[in-house]
Amino acid sequence: MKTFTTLLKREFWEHRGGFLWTPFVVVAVFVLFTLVGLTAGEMHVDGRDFKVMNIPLAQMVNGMSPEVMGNVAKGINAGLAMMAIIVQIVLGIVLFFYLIGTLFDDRKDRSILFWKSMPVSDIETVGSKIVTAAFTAPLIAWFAAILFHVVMLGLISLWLAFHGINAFKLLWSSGIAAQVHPIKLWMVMFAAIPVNALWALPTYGWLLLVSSWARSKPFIWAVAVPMVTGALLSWMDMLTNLRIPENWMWFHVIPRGLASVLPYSWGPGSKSVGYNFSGNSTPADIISLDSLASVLSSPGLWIGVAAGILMIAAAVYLRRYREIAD
Amino acid sequence: MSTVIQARNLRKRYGAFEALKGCDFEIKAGRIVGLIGPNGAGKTTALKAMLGLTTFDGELSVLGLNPHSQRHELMNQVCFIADVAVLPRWLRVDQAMDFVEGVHPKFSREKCLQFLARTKIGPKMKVRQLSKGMVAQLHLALVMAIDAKVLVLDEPTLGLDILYRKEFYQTLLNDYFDHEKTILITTHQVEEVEHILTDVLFIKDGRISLDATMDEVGDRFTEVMVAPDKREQALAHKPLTERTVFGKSIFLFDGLPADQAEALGETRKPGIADIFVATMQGAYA
Repeated sequence: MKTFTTLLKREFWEHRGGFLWTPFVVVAVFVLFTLVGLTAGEMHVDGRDFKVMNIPLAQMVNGMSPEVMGNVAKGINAGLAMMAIIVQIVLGIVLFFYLIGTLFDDRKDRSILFWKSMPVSDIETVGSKIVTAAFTAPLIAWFAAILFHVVMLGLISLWLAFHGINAFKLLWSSGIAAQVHPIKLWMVMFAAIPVNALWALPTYGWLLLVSSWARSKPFIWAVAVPMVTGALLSWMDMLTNLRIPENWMWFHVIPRGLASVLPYSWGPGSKSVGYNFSGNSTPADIISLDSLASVLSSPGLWIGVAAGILMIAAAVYLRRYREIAD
Repeated sequence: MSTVIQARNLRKRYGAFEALKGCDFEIKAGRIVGLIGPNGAGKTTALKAMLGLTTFDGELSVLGLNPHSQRHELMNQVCFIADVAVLPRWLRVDQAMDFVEGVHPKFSREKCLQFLARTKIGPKMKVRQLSKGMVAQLHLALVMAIDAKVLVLDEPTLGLDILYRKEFYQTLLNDYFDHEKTILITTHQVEEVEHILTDVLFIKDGRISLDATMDEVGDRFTEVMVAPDKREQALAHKPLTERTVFGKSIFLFDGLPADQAEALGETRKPGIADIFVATMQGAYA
């Protein structure tokens, strides 16, 4: 156990920049742009007399009907979920590059000779990398998303206050407040961490496998092998009457192997892997218990888990037998 | 004395190239063994096999374990420095200590700090900020703070300046080695290690060509400076090599009795390097 926690710390030390700083920097940039936007907006319109269609903002807000309030609440919920998804997409990109390099870089710079001089098994090594991708980095991103929400809600409250609206009353205790649930959203996001890990398992497996196998350029191999395979299958499909159902390779196998490391990319509305926002699949619908339940009950998730486990086993095997890559 | 490493018909093939062609050797506890051979002779392959870093054919056991299938148990007892500068560049000195402390049950942080106190290495420095010599010092400090039975060093001082090299071997001998431990060293800088070795293993073309203790080496090999008039007589004893210095011939003999050698001229104990050069003739031909 002590060995394993040490291995997890090791991963964090090496990738502090990607796991810790990246999500917080992205949040900071968004906050900064919002500030600039609000300030510029204030300078354009005449100070406190901000009007929407000639109605002063304060008057408009105070006179909202319950139906409008519901829509505003919906908008706020979707906005909060969208902010979370922005952080999650950044996390997915960081994880992609982490996984593709993690069993390759130490073979490239020969430091594997140091790591392998320690009494650590190859299963523990690969396991520590999976736990890092599945839990360490997502937990940090979860904190970053919460911070993002708190800061943005604070900013908007300040802006509303500037226009004579009691934001606390509006956002925290009015008819809108009853329908805005940041804390519930945070809890769903927390519960989604292991679900995202299961969903991402085929990508973890494929990237770790290539990372463990490649003698050079793991990124090119990881992307080129599926692309060429897919192209060859499509070609055969065209030449013969062998119909591979529904372009199954392009829609399910390749995206799951390369892109399901993007959290929530199972989302309702997306055809295979990705995000597709529309009327009934808003960001808030994607980060919801219903959406978690539906992905957990889909066979595609579990087929991917099985494929992921097989590829991870192969990565461990190669870690043991493959020699350095210099 | 117990056997630490035992190899029987150890073989390793890389495609068509046979790096080890059947090696037999035995290393006992409490020895400092130099594994010496020209480039490409199979030294590193043999070490990799012993450390579980590569597959092999034949029999090989290290402390009674199969190094390949039981690598991680073996690493509780065996430490190695495979080449200089394999410490990851992003690692900080205190993190390196935290890591080894976390995964190695026999690591003593106090010992490591004592060794580091003699260097200019600070705990918050990153490996990338250290000079090559300092990286070697750090690695040695980490490894010497582990109470292991076997230490394997593969070219541990390659590319370091003479001060670091001297200090490296001095520290190893004074502060680490005792009769419970076994050290296996490969290096090209034979002159610098020969005074600390107790045994030598020469490896040539994937085979062990000499396996002897230093005392045996001293007894077996003799260098004789022979005046021109006795040259024919000396050649009759089948010397390994002949070189000429100031008109006199210097012959290296293997197994020539001392009285016969002295009859030929002035005798001298050859260095390991001389014997190495003599026995490796034709290694690159």
